[in-house]
Amino acid sequence: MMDVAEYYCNLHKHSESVLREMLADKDALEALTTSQNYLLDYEKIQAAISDRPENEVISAAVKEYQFALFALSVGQYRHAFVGLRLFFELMLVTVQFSAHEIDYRLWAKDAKDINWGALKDTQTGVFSANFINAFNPGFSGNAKQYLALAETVYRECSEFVHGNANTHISLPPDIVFDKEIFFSWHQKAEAMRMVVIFVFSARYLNYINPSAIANLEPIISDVIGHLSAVQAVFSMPSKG
Amino acid sequence: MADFFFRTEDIRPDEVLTYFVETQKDRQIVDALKNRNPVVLIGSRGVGKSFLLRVAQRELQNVFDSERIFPVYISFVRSSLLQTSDENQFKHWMLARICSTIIRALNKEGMLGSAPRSINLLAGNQVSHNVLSTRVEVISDAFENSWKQPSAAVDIEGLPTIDEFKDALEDLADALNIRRFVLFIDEAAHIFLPEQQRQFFTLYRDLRSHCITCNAAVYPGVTSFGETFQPVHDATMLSIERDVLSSDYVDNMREIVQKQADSALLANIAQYGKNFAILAYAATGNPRLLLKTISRAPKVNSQQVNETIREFYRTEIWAEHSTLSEKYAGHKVLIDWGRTFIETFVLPDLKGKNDLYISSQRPTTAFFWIHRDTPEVVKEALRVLSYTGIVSEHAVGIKATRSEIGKRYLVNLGCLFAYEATPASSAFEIAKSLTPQRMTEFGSNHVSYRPLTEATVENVSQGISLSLTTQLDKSANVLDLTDWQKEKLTELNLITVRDVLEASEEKLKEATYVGDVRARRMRNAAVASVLEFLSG
Repeated sequence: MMDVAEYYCNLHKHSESVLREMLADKDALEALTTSQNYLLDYEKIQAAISDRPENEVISAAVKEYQFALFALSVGQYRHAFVGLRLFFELMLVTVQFSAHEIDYRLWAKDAKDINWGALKDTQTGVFSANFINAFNPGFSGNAKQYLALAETVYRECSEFVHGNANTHISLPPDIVFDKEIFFSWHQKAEAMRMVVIFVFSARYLNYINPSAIANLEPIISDVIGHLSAVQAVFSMPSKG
Repeated sequence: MADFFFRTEDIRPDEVLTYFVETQKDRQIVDALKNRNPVVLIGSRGVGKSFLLRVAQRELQNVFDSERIFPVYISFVRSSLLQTSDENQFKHWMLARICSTIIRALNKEGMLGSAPRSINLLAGNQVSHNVLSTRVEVISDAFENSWKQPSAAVDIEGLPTIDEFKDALEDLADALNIRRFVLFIDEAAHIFLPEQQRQFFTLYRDLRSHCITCNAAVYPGVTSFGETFQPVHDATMLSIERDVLSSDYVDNMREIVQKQADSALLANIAQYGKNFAILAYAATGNPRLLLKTISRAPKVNSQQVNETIREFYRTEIWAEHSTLSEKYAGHKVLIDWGRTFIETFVLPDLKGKNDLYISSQRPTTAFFWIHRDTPEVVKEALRVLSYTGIVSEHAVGIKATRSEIGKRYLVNLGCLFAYEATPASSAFEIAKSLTPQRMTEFGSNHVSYRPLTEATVENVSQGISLSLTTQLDKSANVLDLTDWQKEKLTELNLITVRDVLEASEEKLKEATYVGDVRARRMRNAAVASVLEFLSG
């Protein structure tokens, strides 16, 4: 006979020991804090587009992001990557929805799914020349580079989602703290943040109010401030 | 041909070390910047101030785990966009900028966790009750809110003081086991706004504490230090200058280009070493000028070098200088006089002397000397010339004829070479034989000063206030674009600076013969020149 209750309590204890081990590692705690702090940026992005219907999707995205971080902290690595990928898709689809409100309304009614293929589509997706030229042509020269980054980081997470063979090898078989996997998650979260900030800047910077621009300036300058399109936006005197 | 990075802000901060060419002098500056004593770094546009600040920041980041010194890079470039008549606005803008940049840097390194306010955290209320903002965060918010309404006067009542800010930062340092914060403040004080300069240096002085080191980068013309800040006493004043007389000068400048060049250009540089040396000397220690000129003369052959030196150093280098007189109408007389002085008196005299020296195989000159009792307005004009890099201060307290004391200046060598019929054949000799012993002297009442001293110069000492609206309404002709590009702007009815700034590439493509590439270039050129124009 198996004591199911005790079995799950044991698993929980394992998880807690993973958490303790991670927290005791200075570098790991800093990486966790950095990734947690990215929420501050996403919060400002959401605030900047609070008058737009699609901003609600960001609430769903950051919730997934937090669940992913939680899974990561207790050694549930596969779930951490699954959650991170979902967060990424939701953030990008927010931008896609901004141009197709009908899709957003249908999605909100559960009548339409999110499709990665549509997001990265080179003719109609959020990185496509059409899309970016419509909102801010200054960003179109860099779009390919960020699309490549988006595709790569998405694929790397997908390997964990689909359970590709090498993920069975790299993930620990048991609930233990795995430093390498832990840091690779944060590296992916950072790459996604770059892509997300690029796409949001390209889509919205021309259309948000001066005080929202001022709030976003430190974040955007920090992440993609070397792009001339970004420098152009922030050299404009505020119109207010 | 590879695109060059002309400006540090186009380089990702984490890649800055890969472009760093370490000279002995640069190493001394970077070490001084990392050191406990505050440094004010002085240099004209394009000599590499921002770059060295970034290098120092990066190096400190790399050893943070052992040294526990936390570097923070802060740019004040946007301060010139601040339109206000309330003097507290600028002070609180600076404080807000400093506070929030420090917090962001700590957030990014994962040393400080901050709680979002509007995002629902998973653990809900349990967490938000426990998460208290640090005092620095509270102070940051207070400063941030204080300046955001340019029209309203800052209500000082209830705002944190600088001492409270310093205390809070000390507590934070203790809590995070940080020995010291090192601030690198770039574009710290606006060249033509003495009031901003005074306020900045007063704050700089007030920020001194055992856990804060403040470093700042300023232009040579920034001289209003306010009442409390004493240069030399309160900071080490360091000038960035790459000595054109040193034996490894050309090698160092070549290395800077090599970090960014493609193989075709490298091959041309190797083949035409002397021509490259001429371009390097012409830049007079300013990497941005060298990169700009080498990108125009990628073949590095004599024809291209002759053309580039003549076009760039006779007209284009002055474009920025002349733009200043458009922007700062109150200084117009002074700025325009500076150009006349250099072109009518200094350069022809030096050129005449060098012709003579070269023919008799004697050392050459590019130096001139100004008597210390020269009228203040002449000195001010020379400060403006050193801001744009047309001249640089070479030495102070120099004895000239009859033991009179004065200051020695080096004129931009490119400007001097531009007077040669074929720079590619004669400039190298001039550069190789330079000696500071020979200089053209200007006494305290030299005849050339008269137009300036006699002119009624209004408000020169008080500075002027920036009016962005006026700048943006100016004709697009003030922008640094080619004639062809300007013609296209006219064709599109883009008349003012604002029109160009707000035009999309699509709009630009409506002009005949303007396709994707040209539209991009025009827009980039417009944006770049607007940036230069606005940042002064």
